[in-house]
Amino acid sequence: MRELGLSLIELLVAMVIGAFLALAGTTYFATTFGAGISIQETTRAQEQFAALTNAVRVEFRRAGYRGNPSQLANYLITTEGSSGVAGDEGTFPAIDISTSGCALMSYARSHSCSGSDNANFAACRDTDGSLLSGTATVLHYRTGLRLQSGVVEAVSTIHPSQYDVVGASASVTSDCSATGGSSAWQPITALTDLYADRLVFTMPGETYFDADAGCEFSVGGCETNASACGDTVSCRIERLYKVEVCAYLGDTDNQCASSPDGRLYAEIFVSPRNNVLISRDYD
Amino acid sequence: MAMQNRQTGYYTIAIVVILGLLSLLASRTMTIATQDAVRLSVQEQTSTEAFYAAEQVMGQALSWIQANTPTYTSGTSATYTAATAGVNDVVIDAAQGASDSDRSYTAEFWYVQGSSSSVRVFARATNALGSQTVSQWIVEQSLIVGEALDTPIGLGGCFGTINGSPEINAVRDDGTRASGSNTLRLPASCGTASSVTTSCNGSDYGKLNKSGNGCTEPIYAEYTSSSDLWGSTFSLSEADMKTLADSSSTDNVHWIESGGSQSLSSYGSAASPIILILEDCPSLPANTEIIGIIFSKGSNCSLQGSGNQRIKGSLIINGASGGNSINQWNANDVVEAAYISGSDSDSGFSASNQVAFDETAFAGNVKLLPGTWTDTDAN
Repeated sequence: MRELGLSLIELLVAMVIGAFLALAGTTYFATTFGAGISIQETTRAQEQFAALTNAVRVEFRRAGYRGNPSQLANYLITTEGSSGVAGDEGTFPAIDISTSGCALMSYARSHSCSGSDNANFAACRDTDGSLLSGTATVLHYRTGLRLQSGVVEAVSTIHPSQYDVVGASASVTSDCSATGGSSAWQPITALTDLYADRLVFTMPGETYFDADAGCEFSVGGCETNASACGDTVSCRIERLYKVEVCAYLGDTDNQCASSPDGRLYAEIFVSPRNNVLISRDYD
Repeated sequence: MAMQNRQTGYYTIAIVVILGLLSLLASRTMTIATQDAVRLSVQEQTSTEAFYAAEQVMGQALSWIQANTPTYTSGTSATYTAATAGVNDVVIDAAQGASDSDRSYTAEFWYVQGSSSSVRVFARATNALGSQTVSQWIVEQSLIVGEALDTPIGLGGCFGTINGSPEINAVRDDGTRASGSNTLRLPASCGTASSVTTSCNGSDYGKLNKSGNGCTEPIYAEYTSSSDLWGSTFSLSEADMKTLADSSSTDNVHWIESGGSQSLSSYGSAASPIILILEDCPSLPANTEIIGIIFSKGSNCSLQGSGNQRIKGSLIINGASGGNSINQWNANDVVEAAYISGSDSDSGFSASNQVAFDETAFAGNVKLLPGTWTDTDAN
């Protein structure tokens, strides 16, 4: 009968082996499962970071689109302000990075007049004020990216300056300082997944071209003074933008201040495919 | 006894099964996370790669329309694939380290006519992973400005000695003309508009008139400010024209860089006139026949030759503002305006060349319209 039982030594050895196996298994599971969770969190953060950097590229690239040639000509005519300068630096700036941590872009989209558009947009308004139903036109949209308390927000709405009927205005606010219920800005990153610490827009370079003569400023006999752009010559400007993005998991502020090492970090250099247009003063 | 042995084995199996399940669960978690990371990377790379492929196709489309005329079907649209356009599909170098993973994209581009001479160019790159389309409006522009062919001779400076009576045919025998009435265009410093009868050094321009008949060939000074005739002749910058001349796809723009007096052969035809840009003075051997525009950057040029040199189009000597562009010219040479047809010309051109041509013969320069590039189908 003794052969069927276990001695104390045997029992202790079995318990030690069993405990070791259980400990090893538990540790393996915990470590592996934890690593998997960590990878998932990192992946979510990377996914949001990648979406953010992709949005920067796409929006900057497309900025300044003004439609077909006749719409482009109409744009240059109708945006001529009191200064006589017409084009992208006026009513619908292609890219505006004058506010820190915020970039506003504009470009045209096709639009078919309907509803109460006649109360808002001159292109949809007949001479008697009625709706030009179904009329195809282009409206300028404003898109933008900004950093708000660790969250990157984006906006895409009809440009407020597009409401060109007297008394009309946009129902939402889309400028860089917009807050509250009327703000059109929406988060595109989640604080639980990604803390966006830095979103810095700069313009490291620009080149002026005389649009009439087809030459680059200061090359050969071309115009040399940038102030002539829009004054005595029509010009186009090629601009290069740099967007610096730094983010990480967690919610501790300012971790990117000293070094981006170990963070999700990108320096994006992007040149809009559409040059900035400045039409000369023909007045 | 046998029963008790089997029961002991159950515990072992249960522990192994539990450990196995835990391992599978952990492994599955790892796998999902890794797959997510890989999928994300692939999606991002695919989108970016397809975009750059589409941009390369756009480059092909612009080059193609520079050298070809689309055949518009279905009203206003003309569609080409790489095969029908005679170009290559796009290959993106996606090599990672030592592994070569180049990917090929099918190139397709098409043109949609807009109003006037505007054309919207679409370019699309497609492969199994995705597709991207971009578009850009262009205008098809003549290489020369509208006034370039109005006068048969343009000078940045003045005339020097004129011997004999080289024939300059600007106006038809019946007194009509296509546009403009100038035999000669000069800076204002060489005379005043509509009354130029003397050159800078006092010689009589009348010797330039066709058969000495000054009544039917008035000589006007056209330019009042700049003596640089480049911008009054060509719609492209010098750099762009040089690039075009160097392009293998262009055969009607020639740029001769060598210094010194440049001896020319016969160039061009009425059906295919040429643009000939010289960095120095032209030298025209006897019986040379050039059809198109000669633009010389030389100055103080001697056109003294062996006779019977013929230019149909425009001869422009751009150099020597305030001095002589041409210092000597003798008889028997002929410069005949582009729009003169055979019936009213006695210039000595061969019959096949006695047909008019105009600036449309130099069409094909493509100019991008800023502000019209987009990566959406929105208008």
